[in-house]
Amino acid sequence: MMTTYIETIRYYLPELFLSLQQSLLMLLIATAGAIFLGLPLGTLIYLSRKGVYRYSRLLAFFLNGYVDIVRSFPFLLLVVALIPLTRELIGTAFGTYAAAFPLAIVAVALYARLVEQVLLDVPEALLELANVLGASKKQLIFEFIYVEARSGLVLALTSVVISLVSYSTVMGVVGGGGIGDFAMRYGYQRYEYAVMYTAIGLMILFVSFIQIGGSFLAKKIDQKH
Amino acid sequence: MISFEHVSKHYAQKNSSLPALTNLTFSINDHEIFGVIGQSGSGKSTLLKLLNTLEVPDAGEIYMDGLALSQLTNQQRLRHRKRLGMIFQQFHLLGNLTVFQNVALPLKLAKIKNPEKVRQLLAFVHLKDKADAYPKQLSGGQQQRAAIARALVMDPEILLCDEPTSSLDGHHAAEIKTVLQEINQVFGTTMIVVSHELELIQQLCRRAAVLEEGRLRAVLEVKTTAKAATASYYQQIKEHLQ
Repeated sequence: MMTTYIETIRYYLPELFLSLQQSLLMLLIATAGAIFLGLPLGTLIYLSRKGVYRYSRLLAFFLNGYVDIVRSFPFLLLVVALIPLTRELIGTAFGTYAAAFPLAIVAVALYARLVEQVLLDVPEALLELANVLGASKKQLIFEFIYVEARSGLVLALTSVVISLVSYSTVMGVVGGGGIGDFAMRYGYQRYEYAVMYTAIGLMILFVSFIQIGGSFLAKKIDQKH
Repeated sequence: MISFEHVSKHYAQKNSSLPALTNLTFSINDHEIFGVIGQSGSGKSTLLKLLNTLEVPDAGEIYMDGLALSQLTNQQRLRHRKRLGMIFQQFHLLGNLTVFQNVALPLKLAKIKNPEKVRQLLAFVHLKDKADAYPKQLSGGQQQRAAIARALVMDPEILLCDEPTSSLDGHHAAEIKTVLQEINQVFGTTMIVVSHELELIQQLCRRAAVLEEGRLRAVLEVKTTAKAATASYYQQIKEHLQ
């Protein structure tokens, strides 16, 4: 039985590797989106809640709107609904890059909301101090808020990446491939349950690895506790 | 010289406005340690916020060396804040920065590199060996001394102290009193010490304003006691209990 299992897996190995690469690519693009767009967006929502900007209320309304709309979409429907936009922006609505786009849209919204929540835990005293020391807005963000909230931000990003692993599994719909698609096509649909469970096992390992890595890093950079 | 001239400040509430300070007129001399005493809700914190230009008076004017604080442009306001140092009841140190980095923070904000100055101030507040420690590794008194070093790093002309010893026990509070006295003697810094602790005001200040429900009751000359702030913990307890 063991030999049959090994043979089956060996048979599917090239497809498995390809699907892992596709998953990784989608996750990297979406995570980059979370960091470079979600973080500023979440920070902006937080600051506008604090009334730092002149048009704070209006700004908060639009930013919150984006986050809430994206988050309330059932993910599969979001992917389908975004097809015209994806085609416009990327030139195709099919393939791994095209699949990474809706994933990034979700990653930005998810991380923005979590960033806002993490920053709300930053003590008010810190804002008072920044004000008293005459810090600019940029300094307030980079020298005070991010410094004190950094481990929370890392933990929130870890959660987002783990959610993305789960979201990325349905990307077969738009030909995005990935490990989830591999499990469905080569495992479930071909009645090769060993292949399906292997893929699931790999995903569990991957997610555990991300969680352990994220928690370790968060603890390492936290000097407050 | 700082002078308050008929300063009033109200905070808007739902249907009414809550007076925080009403018609305050008094002045503080250069190099003086001036006390502001009152119960909570008497307007002490508002007074500090006005000095810091974090708030603007509704009526009246505060002059600092002849400059009207409510007339400052944004640029002038930032420059004004840099002339002031501030220490807080809860220290407000950044937990993820070392003591050295905390003290150097105002320099970093002003894009000045002067590690020697930071080291000198750490030595002044007796924290030289704690430069690489994080705030969580320090006692309350040590944290407040680090915060004092941070307040001094930009050579402030005026030091605002908001309940500087209220969250410290007797011995650590005495330490902070001593440091504040030394700052006044060595650097000639004008100090405004806001507190509800009569003893602190008595030991530190020569004059003190008494606030009651936002009104100035009087500016009193403080009778200084010879009680040494440097007395040991045991001596202080003995003095209090016997």
